[in-house]
Amino acid sequence: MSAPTKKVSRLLLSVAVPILLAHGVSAQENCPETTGLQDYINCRLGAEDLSEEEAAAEELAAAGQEDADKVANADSLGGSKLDLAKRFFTLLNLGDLKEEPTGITFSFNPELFPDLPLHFNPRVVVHEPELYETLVTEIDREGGPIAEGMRADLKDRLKKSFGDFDDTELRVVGSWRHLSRTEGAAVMAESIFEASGFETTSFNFLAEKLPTWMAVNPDLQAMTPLNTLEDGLRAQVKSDIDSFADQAAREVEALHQSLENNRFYALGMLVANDPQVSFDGFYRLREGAAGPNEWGGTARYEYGLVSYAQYLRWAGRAGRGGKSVETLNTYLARPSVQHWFKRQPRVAALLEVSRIDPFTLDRPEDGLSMKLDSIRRLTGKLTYGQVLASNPGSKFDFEARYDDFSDDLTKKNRFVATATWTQKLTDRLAQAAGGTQLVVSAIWANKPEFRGEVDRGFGMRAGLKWALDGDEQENDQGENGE
Amino acid sequence: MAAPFIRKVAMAAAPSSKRSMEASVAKSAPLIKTTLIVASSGPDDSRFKDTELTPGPARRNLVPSNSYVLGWVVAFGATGTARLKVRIIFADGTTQDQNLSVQGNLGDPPAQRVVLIP
Repeated sequence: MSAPTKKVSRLLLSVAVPILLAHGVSAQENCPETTGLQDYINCRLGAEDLSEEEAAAEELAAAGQEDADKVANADSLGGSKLDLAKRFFTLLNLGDLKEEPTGITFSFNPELFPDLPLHFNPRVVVHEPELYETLVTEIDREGGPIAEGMRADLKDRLKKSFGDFDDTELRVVGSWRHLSRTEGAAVMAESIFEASGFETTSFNFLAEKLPTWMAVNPDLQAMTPLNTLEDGLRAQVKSDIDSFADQAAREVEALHQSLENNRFYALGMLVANDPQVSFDGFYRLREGAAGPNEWGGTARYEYGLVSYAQYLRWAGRAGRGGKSVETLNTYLARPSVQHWFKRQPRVAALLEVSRIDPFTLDRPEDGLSMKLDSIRRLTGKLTYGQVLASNPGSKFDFEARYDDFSDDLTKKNRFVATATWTQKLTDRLAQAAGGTQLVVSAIWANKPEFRGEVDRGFGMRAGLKWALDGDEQENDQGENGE
Repeated sequence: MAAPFIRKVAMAAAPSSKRSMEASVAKSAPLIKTTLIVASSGPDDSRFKDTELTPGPARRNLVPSNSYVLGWVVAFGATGTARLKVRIIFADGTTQDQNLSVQGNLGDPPAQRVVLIP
């Protein structure tokens, strides 16, 4: 095998159609009448249903001191350590709590550190512990240490040994922001917002209707469910809320248009394009059969070629104050700015590192012993993306990355380059295709991903990828490897 | 299910005993702008600006015999979240809190939410 042929070139072409990615905030027609009147109205305005964690928070707020006493006395609560943690977190109003079948996320309030240029968002994720995948493979291995008849029992016993916090992840997401610069932009945004005006006819209409509803039912409260009202009042309330929702939708659309015309969103885009550093770090602590500890992090530097910082520099050179909306309009009207503003070019550099600690598990009573070395992975990435000016619904992205997987016995170190074209579909096409955008990617790599010697390789892939209600599916038309 | 929990936080005191309200907003980005419109069944309409609400609290008295609709409007000059906390204070000193939160992307149409004070 000659040296040049050890280098494998590969081209992958993939066609993907992810759909239903955006739901927008449009008004809802089918809102449950079992929730409180206020929640029903908010649902008609486009709010999502009250989540279970919000409901739990409301429950705790209602229970008040009585519950606080129970929390202080763990025995009387009779719950697990995790239940206690949840109640403390909610009672102390430390942030948001999200429960999912795979675990619970405690997101601490970002306002905990308001004056720091570094914007933190710390989280603790308590995962539902699962058996470590490599361990399961070893247990199920034909000819392995565990007899076939004993495997299910062993896995069952290992699972039952898990505690509440045997798979806990600490995560910090953050970004660096230029405080004084952002504050200047916020002052300008405030003046644009105030000048945009907002009709409040719909809210006044609802305020006038409230006493008429209460004249029929004096006990009416904000949280009275709509379906508990007597038929005549229920019909009247629904009709009034329908009229309110229609008017509110017109008013918010007028405000949206006014903000657009007054460059509110353009200003936001300039600020979003300012140079920024963001990071995402995690440390995952696992116990016993849940697997080894793992840590990692991503640091990212990115900026847009048309930014608020550039606008301020231009305003300074032109001898104008950067806080004037008129100056902003003049800047955005410049041909060169318009040229790039339409395209929204964006550059990013990213460094990603992770390490899985060594893993040891000895269960001589079951004849099972496992020892795995640590694995470190390092990836460096450069990206460039922009909208295609001739077609605003079309976007081009390029990514070049190097993966250093020296510790990983299954993967190779390699360069990978990816060019992606994304086309937003028209409503008609989206309906026919069952998706909202078409994604075409061409991928080149100097080596295959997994270890193994080959002479040469050329891979191709074409397929359809789609998602329905977040359930992504893929249908590859074919791929050939080396 | 959320509904049974929600019923527990219905007004602790008689609605007609309301005396004042406080409102405060927490945002994840300064370019998210909000305003709170206080629409009354009487002539005492008012409005709080973003700078009064953040961090707040903005305060005003309520006329016990009037009903109010608080209209909270959030404009997304940045991607992120905004949270509104409204506290209603009753004559006997008891309070009732209402919390609302919205999330949106830069350029999304403004979000509207309502708090009813019958």
